[in-house]
Amino acid sequence: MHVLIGLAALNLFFLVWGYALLAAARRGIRLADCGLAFCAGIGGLSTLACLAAVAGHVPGTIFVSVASLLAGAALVYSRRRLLRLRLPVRSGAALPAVLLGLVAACYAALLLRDAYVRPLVEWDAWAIWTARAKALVTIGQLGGATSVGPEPAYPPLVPMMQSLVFRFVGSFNSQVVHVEYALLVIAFAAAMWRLLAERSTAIVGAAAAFAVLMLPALETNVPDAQADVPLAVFAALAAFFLADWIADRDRSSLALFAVFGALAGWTKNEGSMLVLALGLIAAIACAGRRWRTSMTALLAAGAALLATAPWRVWTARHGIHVDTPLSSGLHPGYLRDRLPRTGTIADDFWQHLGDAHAWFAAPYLLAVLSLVVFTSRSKRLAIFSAGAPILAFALFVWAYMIRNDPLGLRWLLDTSTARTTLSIGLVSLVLVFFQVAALLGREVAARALSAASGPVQPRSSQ
Amino acid sequence: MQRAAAAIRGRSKWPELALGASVASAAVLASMLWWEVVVWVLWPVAVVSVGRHVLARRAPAELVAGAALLFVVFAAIRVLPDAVHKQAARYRADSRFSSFEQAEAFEQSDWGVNADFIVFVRRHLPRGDTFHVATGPTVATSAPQSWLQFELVPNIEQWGSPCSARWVVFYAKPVTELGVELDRVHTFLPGYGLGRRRIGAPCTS
Repeated sequence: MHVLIGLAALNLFFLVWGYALLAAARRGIRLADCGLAFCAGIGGLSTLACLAAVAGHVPGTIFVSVASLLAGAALVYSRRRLLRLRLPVRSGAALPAVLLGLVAACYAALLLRDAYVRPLVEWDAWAIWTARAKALVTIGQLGGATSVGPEPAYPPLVPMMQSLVFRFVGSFNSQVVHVEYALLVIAFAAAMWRLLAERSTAIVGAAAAFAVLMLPALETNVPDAQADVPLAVFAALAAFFLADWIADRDRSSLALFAVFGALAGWTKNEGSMLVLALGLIAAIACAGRRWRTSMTALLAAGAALLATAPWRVWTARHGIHVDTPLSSGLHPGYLRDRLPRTGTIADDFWQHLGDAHAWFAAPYLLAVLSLVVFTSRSKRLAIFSAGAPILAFALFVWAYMIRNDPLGLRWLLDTSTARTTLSIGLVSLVLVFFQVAALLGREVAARALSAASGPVQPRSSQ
Repeated sequence: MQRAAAAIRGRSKWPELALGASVASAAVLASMLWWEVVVWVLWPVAVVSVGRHVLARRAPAELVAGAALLFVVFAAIRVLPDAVHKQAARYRADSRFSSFEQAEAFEQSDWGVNADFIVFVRRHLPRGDTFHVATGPTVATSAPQSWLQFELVPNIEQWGSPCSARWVVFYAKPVTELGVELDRVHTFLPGYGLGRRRIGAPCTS
């Protein structure tokens, strides 16, 4: 019983911090945003705890509870006029959306049921992430926790999130940590539904939520309790909001890109690479316009990367360095020597990403839709949507190419590619849905459904 | 007044309401008994709704988007039965443990790690002391080191040389083979034990 109460309290606090982050990015407090708020909150509260740990204090249950209650009270008081606790109801295409939603909800229940009893199976989960989470609780300082297990330079968001679970449930229950991963994916699906329904119609949102939950490549990684699923979720949301900013120039979307980009950077080092890729390609996509627009995207990406600076400074001060020789990786001679590995790495990556069954053919659909969007709607959106996964792919191949693994390249690829390509694949799928929503957009939907559903509300009023 | 009128209207429609409730209950029951029915119902609903969506649009770009949406929905419905079976099978396998300690012990055994020995070490290793794991040639992976570290935190494992650690855990390796001077030894089985390094003694291992 204590486990359930602890889990409920912690996840409520995640929601509170998520709504606080959304409010800071000028999104009102709406019940329909609970999925998005959970995604922001699980990363946001864990990052705040990491910042406290970097400053020398690993926060405990009482500290987190009091801070969350204060944040919740301040949020409700300051935004009481913007509270909307009713879910938006739109009659058009409601039945299939409800049906898909019901099936998705049943599947989500199955996912949660297994997550509650799932043992710690994956090597990196018990060798790095959960071991470090236990150390954060028992040692009580970041320095000691990074000494546990290999790869001390891995950012601490995931161990911190798991350590909060341990603190709130009152034991080192390594089965229950899986619940947070299941909840994160369910919340991500709910967020996709909400965001795409906001741009287009409920059926597009419901289809996206259903597809996210069913996605074989994601489904196999969710029960592993590692950092790749949170990274993929944060990166996909960052990509969505940057695409949203390119399409609408909504400052709130740009702020949320920076928020989720920062969370991706605090989750894994690959997260910083993804943010860099998204920012660069957005700047290139917007280059035809005023230079200030391009710079805005780059500045937002820079802000997201800067948010991870406390961790980078802390690791540098403690003599902890990443295994990948980044400075050597920019040296032409070093790159020339390693060029023959590129084909093997790119081929292995593509074997995973190009798997039509595992990704519902997302890369191929993205290519086709980008072409259609380029010719019919927005060139900038098409360039961003096609370019972001390609640049991320190239950066990942580069990172693998320059790395020296003692067990060899083949071993490295066999044990990690399926996980590391997850974020690129999910970014691709989210951008597929974004383009579908852009093409079957609000005006088109209004025209098509006007007879059945009546007037469509403007986006800001939902 | 309005409430009374609504109640009268509701009462007058009871045959339809009863019929609707029966159909809904039968559908829920059928979907619980025959899961696959849900999938087969989803197919035509998806075809009709997305097809209606696509055909309501005239522009080719919108047709392509509708087709892409239809493709993804179909692909997702196609994997649904398999995904549900996989979840059910996974739950059956995962729910056999009565506690997380039991689940961890099972996983340790699954990786070829002696779970009872880990419990033994945890009982004898003083909290906060560092340790080094010395393994014999029969151990092919670093699973024993990693699981020992997992279970023994806040004790921190020292990799590389045993000279940097206060305690040495012997895993499938005789105590005498390491060449480290010990002042206290706890033996679990031959080749499995825990020894405290003598402070001040030369250590060259």
